[in-house]
Amino acid sequence: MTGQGYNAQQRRAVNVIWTTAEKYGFTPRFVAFDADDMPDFYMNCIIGLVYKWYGEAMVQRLFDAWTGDARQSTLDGIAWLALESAAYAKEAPARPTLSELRREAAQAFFDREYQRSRQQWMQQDQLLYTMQSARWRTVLGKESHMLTPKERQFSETLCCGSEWDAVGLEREIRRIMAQYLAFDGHIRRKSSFHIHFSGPLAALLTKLVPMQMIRTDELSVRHSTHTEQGPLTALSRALRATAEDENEKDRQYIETYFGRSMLDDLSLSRMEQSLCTGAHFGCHLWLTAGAAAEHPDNREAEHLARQAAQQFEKNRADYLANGDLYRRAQTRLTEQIRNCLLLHRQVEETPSRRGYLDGSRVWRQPTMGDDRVFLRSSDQPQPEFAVDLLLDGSASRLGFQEVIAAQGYILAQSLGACGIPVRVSSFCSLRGYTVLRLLKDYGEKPDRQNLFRYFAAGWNRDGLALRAVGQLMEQAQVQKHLLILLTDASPNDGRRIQPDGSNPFSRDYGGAAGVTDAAAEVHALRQNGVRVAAVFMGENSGIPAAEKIFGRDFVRIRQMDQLAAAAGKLIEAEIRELSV
Amino acid sequence: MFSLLEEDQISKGLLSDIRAFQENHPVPELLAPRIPVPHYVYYGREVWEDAVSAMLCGENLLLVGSKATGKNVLAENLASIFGRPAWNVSFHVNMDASTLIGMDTFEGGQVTFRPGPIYRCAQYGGFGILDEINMAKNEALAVLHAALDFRRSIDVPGYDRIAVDSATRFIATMNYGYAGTRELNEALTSRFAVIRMPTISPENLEKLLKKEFPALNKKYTDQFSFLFLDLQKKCESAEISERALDLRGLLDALRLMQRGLEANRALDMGITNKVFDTYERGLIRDVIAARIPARLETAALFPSV
Repeated sequence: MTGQGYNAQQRRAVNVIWTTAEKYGFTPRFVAFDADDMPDFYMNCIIGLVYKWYGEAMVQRLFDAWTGDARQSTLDGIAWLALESAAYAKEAPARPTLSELRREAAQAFFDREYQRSRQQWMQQDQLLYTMQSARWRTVLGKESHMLTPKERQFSETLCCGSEWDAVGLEREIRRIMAQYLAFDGHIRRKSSFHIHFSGPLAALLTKLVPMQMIRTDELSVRHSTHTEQGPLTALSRALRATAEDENEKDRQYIETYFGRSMLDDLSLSRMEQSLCTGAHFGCHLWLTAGAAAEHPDNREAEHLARQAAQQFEKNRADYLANGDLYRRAQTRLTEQIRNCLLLHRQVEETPSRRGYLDGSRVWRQPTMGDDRVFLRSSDQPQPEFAVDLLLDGSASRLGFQEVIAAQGYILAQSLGACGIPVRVSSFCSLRGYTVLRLLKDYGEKPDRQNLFRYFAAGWNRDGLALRAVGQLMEQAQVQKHLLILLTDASPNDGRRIQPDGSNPFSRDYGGAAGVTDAAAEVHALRQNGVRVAAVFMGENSGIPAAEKIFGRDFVRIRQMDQLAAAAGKLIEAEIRELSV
Repeated sequence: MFSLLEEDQISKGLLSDIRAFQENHPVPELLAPRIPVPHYVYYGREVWEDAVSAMLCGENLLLVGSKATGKNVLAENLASIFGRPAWNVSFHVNMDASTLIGMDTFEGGQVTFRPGPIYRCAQYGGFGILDEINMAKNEALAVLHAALDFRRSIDVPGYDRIAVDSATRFIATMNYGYAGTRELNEALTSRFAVIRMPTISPENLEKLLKKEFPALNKKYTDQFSFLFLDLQKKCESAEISERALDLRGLLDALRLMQRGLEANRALDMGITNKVFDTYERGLIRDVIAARIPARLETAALFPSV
């Protein structure tokens, strides 16, 4: 659950854990859900209490002991029965409601029994079920008649009391595992079945079988929908497209996949002439609002466009599933920005013939016949700046597509509600084209249909994207611009930097060269009066690059669901700056 | 008040100095109704000692703290124990100098000066409680500078300059987190002695609950006190907004329970329903459920009622 953040139900469950743990900020290793995928209140309370009484380190050590073992889920389940008993015994005297919650949990366990299908019965771990059943029967004050003497002894041993400290309890659980489950501390993995193909058969299978690819000059589209293994272990499907050198084919490919260009051929070519120079010589630009290509004739790209449409559905579904959470974030952000605008607006009051009475001017009416004894506030000034949110749409964002789309929507909605014009675009590079996808323009209403078109693919040539955005800003009517980038401060493109006067050899667009180029483009934008700030989400090792590109104007986020809030902070700083 | 502070083990020397202050600064009969009679008592020995020492030294106080840390309770308590008339000014974004000092008005066909609360406070040796001072614009507050520093005077443009009475003190409160708040500028902050108000401790919260609800079952006094602290932690971690962190709301809910309302319904009215976001309400209900049994009735809570 790192990086992408929690969805609404996960967050609610984790909140219960944090509440009973009486501390926040740690990522619990376990979160309990019932059969309907709803947070299991009692077990989440217990997880929190285990952290409270025995600490994170003990939980980590205990479960690490068998992580990867073929019987991991059984061992986990049994360990949790012991932990539940111990944590309950420690906490119950100080928390009277816990006994009632425990009885309710026990009752719910048996209520669910009647709802299971035959397949579910067959799939379940019999030993674990027997132990759970025995535990919950005891809680309800019922006898467990069906247990063998050994099972009965096992079940009783699992009822750990409050006498243990963290080390003692860990030792006791490991002793139980050794005695009743013959777990000797050595992890025994399931042997996996491998077949190795080589030669032409391998080439054929490469085309047919889904596989995962990270970066290539060809396109990779991966779906990041959450699965039961967790958000970051999402199943992925990647597709390969064979690279074509011919420009026209590349152009058709880009058009079919990303949509028609917003500019006519002549304007686009002029723009390329003025922008694709220096480090970007030989590159192309593609600016699109996503309108479908007129004559799609590239089956490969068509297929990819279908994949993008599927991602749109996933973005939409994620937003609907976590609507409560996102709406809450949006309300908070709107309040935050509106408050900042309210505080920093400069209200001018002028004498007027209507308005509210100004006591200090009243004397002017009888003595001088001056009717202007009222004060009137000038209309609330509209913010004098526009925000451009530029989202990194390269393959490094594959795992976060739904969250980025939702966060972009939240930000657009909030700024719209505060009367701040906002444009949201994403950028990526592919086959020498730096594609700028306009998801929402200044004048448009924030529309989910548009903003959820976000998907990630290809490389990121930050320098050229910044140049293109800078050019688009010049055409806008607003005087002041704030450009906010979502970035990992790691510009990288397959199209190399061509040799020039200072450098006789071509170089990779990546590493130090990419960073230097992006920093130069940010500097150029600032010279033109555009304020540039970034929301940085990347590794610690990327911080020096972010500092080089953006100076001090960046905010680091650890999870993608903090994007809108971080952008909100940058916008507030801008409002404050403008009011000085 | 004095007996409660003695119970709280406030230094005896400070208490006798307060008595001496009262004797040296008698209050005119006319202003006696302005001396606050506090409903709640602030608990916290160290904060009391800091605040009283500052007041005795002639300092003005700035109480900084998040919601439900007892800023206003302490301010009122201070005015009460020093026996001074209090003027309470709630600051807002459109506050200006004339609202504080006073403005012109018509009286008998003539323009006259109508004093504002700060002027009155300075004139009569009152305690000015400047509530949420950081809601006002810094420009509007500049008028207070001379009253707050060594000059101890207020110069009203077009009228006289008045000296601030020796018994006058200003106690400002502020909370960075509230909507509409800003940072105070250095010039203003430097004119106050600043106390960072700590969040209420479990012991003090328990003391408060016991004083307000002597019949409350001891077992549940603890639980309600822990419930508030759980909400406080959740709020500090920004999982819920400050709306739910409402000590007054908790006390109101307990009053409703005493009247016979089931605990969950009372807590909904006192705390949960103050939040308008449905998701956040769910989080708050979870915190309550982890502390207070679902069907807790008056008989269990108040056995002797």
